[in-house]
Amino acid sequence: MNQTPIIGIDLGTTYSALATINVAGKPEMVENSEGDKSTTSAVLFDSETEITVGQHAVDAGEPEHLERWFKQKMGDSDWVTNPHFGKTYSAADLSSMVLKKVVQDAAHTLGPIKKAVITVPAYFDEIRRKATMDSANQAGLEVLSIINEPTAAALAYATTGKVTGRVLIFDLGGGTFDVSLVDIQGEEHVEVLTSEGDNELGGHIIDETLAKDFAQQFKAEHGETLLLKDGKARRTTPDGHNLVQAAEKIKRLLSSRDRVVNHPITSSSGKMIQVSLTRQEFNNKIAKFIKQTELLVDAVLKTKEVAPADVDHVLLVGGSTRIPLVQETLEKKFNKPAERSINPDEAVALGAAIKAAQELVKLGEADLPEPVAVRLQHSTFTDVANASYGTLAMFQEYGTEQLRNDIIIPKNTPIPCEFTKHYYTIDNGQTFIDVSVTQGEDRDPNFVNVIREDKMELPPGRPPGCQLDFTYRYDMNQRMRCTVFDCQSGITKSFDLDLGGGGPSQGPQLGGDDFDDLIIL
Amino acid sequence: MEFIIGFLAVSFIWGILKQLFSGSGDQNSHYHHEVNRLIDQGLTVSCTFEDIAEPTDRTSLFIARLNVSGSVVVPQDHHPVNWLVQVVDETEGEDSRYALLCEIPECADAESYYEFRQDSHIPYTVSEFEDINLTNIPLFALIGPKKGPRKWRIFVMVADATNDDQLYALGSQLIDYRQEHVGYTEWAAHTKAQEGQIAVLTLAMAAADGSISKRETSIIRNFFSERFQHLEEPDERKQHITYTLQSTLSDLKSGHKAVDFIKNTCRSLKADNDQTVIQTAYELCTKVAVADESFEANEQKALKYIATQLEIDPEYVREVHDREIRLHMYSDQHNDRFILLGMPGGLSTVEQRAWLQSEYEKWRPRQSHPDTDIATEATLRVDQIVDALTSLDQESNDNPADF
Repeated sequence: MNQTPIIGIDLGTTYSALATINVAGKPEMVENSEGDKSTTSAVLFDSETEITVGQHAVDAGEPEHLERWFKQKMGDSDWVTNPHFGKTYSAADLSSMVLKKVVQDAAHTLGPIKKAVITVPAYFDEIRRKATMDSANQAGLEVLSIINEPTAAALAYATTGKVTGRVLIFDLGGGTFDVSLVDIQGEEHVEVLTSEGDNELGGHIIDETLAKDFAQQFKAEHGETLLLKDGKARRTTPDGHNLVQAAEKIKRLLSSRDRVVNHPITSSSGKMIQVSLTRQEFNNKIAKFIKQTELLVDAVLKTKEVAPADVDHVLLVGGSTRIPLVQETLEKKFNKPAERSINPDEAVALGAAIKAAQELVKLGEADLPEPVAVRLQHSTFTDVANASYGTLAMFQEYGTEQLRNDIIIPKNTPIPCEFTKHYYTIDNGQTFIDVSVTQGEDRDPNFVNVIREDKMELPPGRPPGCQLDFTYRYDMNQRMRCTVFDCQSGITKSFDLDLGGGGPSQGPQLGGDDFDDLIIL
Repeated sequence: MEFIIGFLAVSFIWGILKQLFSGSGDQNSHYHHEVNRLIDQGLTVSCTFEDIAEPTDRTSLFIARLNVSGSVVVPQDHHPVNWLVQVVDETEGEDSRYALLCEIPECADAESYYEFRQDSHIPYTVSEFEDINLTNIPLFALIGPKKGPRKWRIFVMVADATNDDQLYALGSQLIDYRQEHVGYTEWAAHTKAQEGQIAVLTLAMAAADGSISKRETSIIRNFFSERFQHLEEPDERKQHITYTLQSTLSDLKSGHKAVDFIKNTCRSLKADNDQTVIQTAYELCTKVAVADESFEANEQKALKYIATQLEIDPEYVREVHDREIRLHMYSDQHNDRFILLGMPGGLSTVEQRAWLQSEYEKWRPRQSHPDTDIATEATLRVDQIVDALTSLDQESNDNPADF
């Protein structure tokens, strides 16, 4: 057998990590070339041709050419970095650089790596998932599967045998926050019931909040205004970089200590402040942040009509769950201690490796002891659609015809899945329909993400009421495909979501202000 | 509304009944000439009326249950035929009949005129029928030439299955019906009048804060420009709107109060009760109100007045506000975040929490919308919602009995 290393990669906002499956069939982390189990998701452009990836990039102290937290911009076609030596980069470009580093480091231990499972936040939409796959391909990887981060963590916990029943996974990372409710019945049965996420929440927000406070202290003590970001280019300033680094450090210290006393922070002008903060003060500063995490947990429980008492375990995933107030809040809400038996920084990568093993066993490419391979082959794993997918159609609402987002695949439907819904032409002699593939739950089309727009031509001379069947298929990678079938003519048209879309619908361009009266032109 | 589903499930064949009456191409005298040649033979038609509106429906939905009795003579036993039903307006006399349009496509022919057709077999050469329920006619969906009290004649025919010209039996019944829709001969004038009302209302809305800005007028102007863009002959309507806007502006400048225009126009729109026009007007008024990126107290009052007077569904109002009004547009007088977020008054603490949670669930996914304007607004809203909930928590901690 030509064996491929079994690789799962947690491509994180703050840190990325890689895990494999050992000869005993157990998942384990793989260290990077610096001897760490995680690699800071940071890229420093040293020169036109050289880059540094990882913690060294952060420590180099050159924030003007440093890029971090770009995962939050994945799939955003309007976002690129500020120019670095004359070139700009998309978030997918930067992610591919991180992936390259992580994979190359692991290859020293495991040999050449060609295939991997990559994790994404549960809230990642179609476009962001596609961007993640693109960055993996750019890094020379074939993506075996894309898996949601909390789902991967559930797989990792399932293998421990210590966690069964209805499990809430609380995944609070550096830049993202996901909550999933999962039914775990041993290693063989992992079923995601629902997932929610917030792309605005993460430990990074806490760092920035603290950094702003420190800047105010500078202002109060020295009359010096420190800018976190360059106002025009929104580029992190050297002072901003220092303040955020200090905030991150103090945040970590306050996870294990009750107070930090006289922590020195120096500005680029050489002035210094000493920061003292108690955990209680820190808790007060992050109360709003914690409230937001609670709201999302409530939303998840409400979706499945589950009371906190009905949750058997609460699992902590992601570095930010080390914050004591996070744990205290969850313990108070669920009236039970939260589980941390797997390192919160590692659970996602470990689960991704298990998923990779399952995929490679299916392909007959996994070098595993037979009992392990058989076990993996017989394990059932069900994830759910991370968003609702639908189309725009006219409906009678509020006493008139309204253009509405009509959901075809509801959010939280077990995947893979396929749904067909019937629609009808409305005009006599209608010769085309506008096909819009939407992502989102809103009925109001203005608030959903139109991920594909196209026209489908229809034969002329037909009465209204001709049936059109819209079929949506959703695969295990949480990628969507759409087909429209004109029942009368037999014409079928498929809409490949890889071709584009994702931007907001462009309305007609309005005229300028070049008028002085009220004449309708 | 269960009736409609049953009604639509009946097997239809489309588009040939009108051949029976193929005469003039002039819509105003459609069918008139040929129908006049037909004299009732063999069939007695009777109707009973029923309002199928649900208690929640805003208007009545009358149908006519159509029963037929009588005899049919066909060339042989088990003869294939078509039962055909047609309705015409003959308010202005039998010499001036008009066909009726139907808003339900499944009950209309290719030209949108009402028709019912069902194939059948007549069992014997001479067959007698006793009070058979042939179909239910959706009177609420029929549109005649004019609005108001009308006389409609319902024709029932039995025609040869292969030749509609070969009639074996015919019957008719004249009914009195009050048409609530504007008639098709009145559409052009009515549309012009409605557009005028929209123009007056939105211009008065623009003047609600004491002045009319260029941004406000540009929104009104662009609305009508887009509306007329695809018309083949838009000149008359353009001129009408231009005149209406200019004369209203002149009246406003000469001291007429914006509020009076708003009141009067609301009265007219309410009397007309065309939901499409009402909603269009309200949405445009909202856009005009926030055109200057601020939502002044007078504008808020005016919008609230319009929504109340026109009895617009509060859910629709909320939807329009979500789309058009941004938190930063509220003037400084409303620092209360509960008002800013649009929370209804009089809620208990528990209800306030539930309302805020539902608003959170609505706005949170919008934070990742590709349109940065929407995403930014969503983030701001979520921020306000979390603040509101945190303050409720704080109040509960201070007053545990309230929790």
